Amino acid sequence: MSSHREAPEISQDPVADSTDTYAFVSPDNPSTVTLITNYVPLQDPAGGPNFFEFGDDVSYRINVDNNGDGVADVVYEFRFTTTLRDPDTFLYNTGVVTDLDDTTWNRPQFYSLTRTTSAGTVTLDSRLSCPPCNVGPRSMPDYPDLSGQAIHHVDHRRVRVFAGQRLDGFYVDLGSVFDLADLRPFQNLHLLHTAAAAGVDGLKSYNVHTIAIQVPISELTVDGSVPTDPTKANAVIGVWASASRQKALVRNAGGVNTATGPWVQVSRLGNPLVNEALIPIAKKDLWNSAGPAGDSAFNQYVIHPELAGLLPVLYPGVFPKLAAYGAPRADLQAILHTGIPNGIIGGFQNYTGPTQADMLRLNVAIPPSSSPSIMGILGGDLAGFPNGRRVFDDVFTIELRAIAGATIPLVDPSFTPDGAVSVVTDGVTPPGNVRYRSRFPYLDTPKSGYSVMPAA
Amino acid sequence: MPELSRRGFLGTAGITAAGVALVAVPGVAAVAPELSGVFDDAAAPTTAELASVGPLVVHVRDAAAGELSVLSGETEVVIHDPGFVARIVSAAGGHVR
Repeated sequence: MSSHREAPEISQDPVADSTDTYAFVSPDNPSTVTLITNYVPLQDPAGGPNFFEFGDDVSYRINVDNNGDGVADVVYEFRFTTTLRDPDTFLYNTGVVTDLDDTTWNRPQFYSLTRTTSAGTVTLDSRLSCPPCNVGPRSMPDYPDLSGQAIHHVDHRRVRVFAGQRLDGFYVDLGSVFDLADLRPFQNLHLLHTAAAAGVDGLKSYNVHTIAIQVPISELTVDGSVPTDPTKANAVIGVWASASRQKALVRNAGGVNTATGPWVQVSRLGNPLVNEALIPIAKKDLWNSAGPAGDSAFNQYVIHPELAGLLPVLYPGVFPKLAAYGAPRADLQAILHTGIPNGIIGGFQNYTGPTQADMLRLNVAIPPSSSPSIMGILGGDLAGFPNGRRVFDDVFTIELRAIAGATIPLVDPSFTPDGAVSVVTDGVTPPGNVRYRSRFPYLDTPKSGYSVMPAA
Repeated sequence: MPELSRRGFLGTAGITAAGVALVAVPGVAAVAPELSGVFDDAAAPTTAELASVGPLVVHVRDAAAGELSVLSGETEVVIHDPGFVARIVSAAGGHVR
């Protein structure tokens, strides 16, 4: 998965487990950037009566670096508070909920939002409402309207924000890729082969908890400008999400715990699939606890990806050129750790300097595409991954092809990728536009517990 | 180092002595200032001040080095006090691992 349960420690702490981070120039409001990060992976929509929520004891942050040092220059922090309206019922909702203020929603959650820069911390709002989880049509007969009430305008309506349940926008064939990197459309070529088959979207019925914020571009750039020249350094920002818990937790009798001490980072996420598929298991927890500025310590796993060695073994004869390529993967280092410099891809760069740091690098001077490709830059669409990341980008296939050698020619023109590289995929694509929204918060209405049928 | 944590610690520990030094600790100094030496009785908080102290956790992270950390609010203070650590270990029945 992108970063769902990607490391041993955080897999035991779903409330703080970031699953995906997105950063893109808003297609319907191109003077703004939308930043999204998701938590609480793999939510079975019917998982009540204590439905999913953010952690009141977690500090959720969206971090923006605008000077290339891998250190946050702008931080949006979200802190949640859950209340209980009727302590004498076991019910999540005691009747129909049509309004966020309805007393029939028994366990509402609120949050504060702050923005921190070198000038200090500003509280943008101290009590914003989350929507409830999508229980079902009897409980929430118009969930799109109900959750829409949780889209708030703050900071003199310059900022839009939403925090609550959404349908997971990430798509991948979970069942096959974890089964010895099987890709169903190509499993006839796998070392342990079976007949080729169509891909299966393992996430299409799972929800997540989304934090989304849409801010003016000028709030994020190093000089407060709205860049129009994509070749300039001030047009690029680096984005990652992080979650932190307080250092000590004392479990008291009665179920009321005590958390105290400084905040310790337990999860982070910039580029998709990096901690998931590049960092070895013994280093994943360390990676989650660190900041991007120290990612040179992990660069060896980027320039010598384990998966690039496995593909020729698992698919005998399919990737001979990849198997023979022994040089460090400067292409992957550029894509994931430094950004792509000017002169590599016509009209595009997202280089942030020599500091190796895992961040989504977004060139905000690249306007949204009128005909986006889910393959992003590999598909000729400069507004897509790895120029930031949009909710619908097929990051699994893009990174799979990159690791398989598709991007080596960017740094080594003498290399010709294997023929399979341009077609290799897990066979999962989003079903049209039904999975996303064209407007903020872009991720779709979550599945309701009533509507989802258990898999066979 | 926030005064609340230190005073809370002193009150909780019931330590009396004189002279407190703030010591930089490479690698942790940014989040965990370090106190060493002995403590001034005059710094002990009043009963009213103690009543306002929130939950506080003392973590003996290196008994052999006489080192403990005090976690309070959103802060951490590292303290070197071999004598006090020895008393904590003794109070724990000597079974600290």
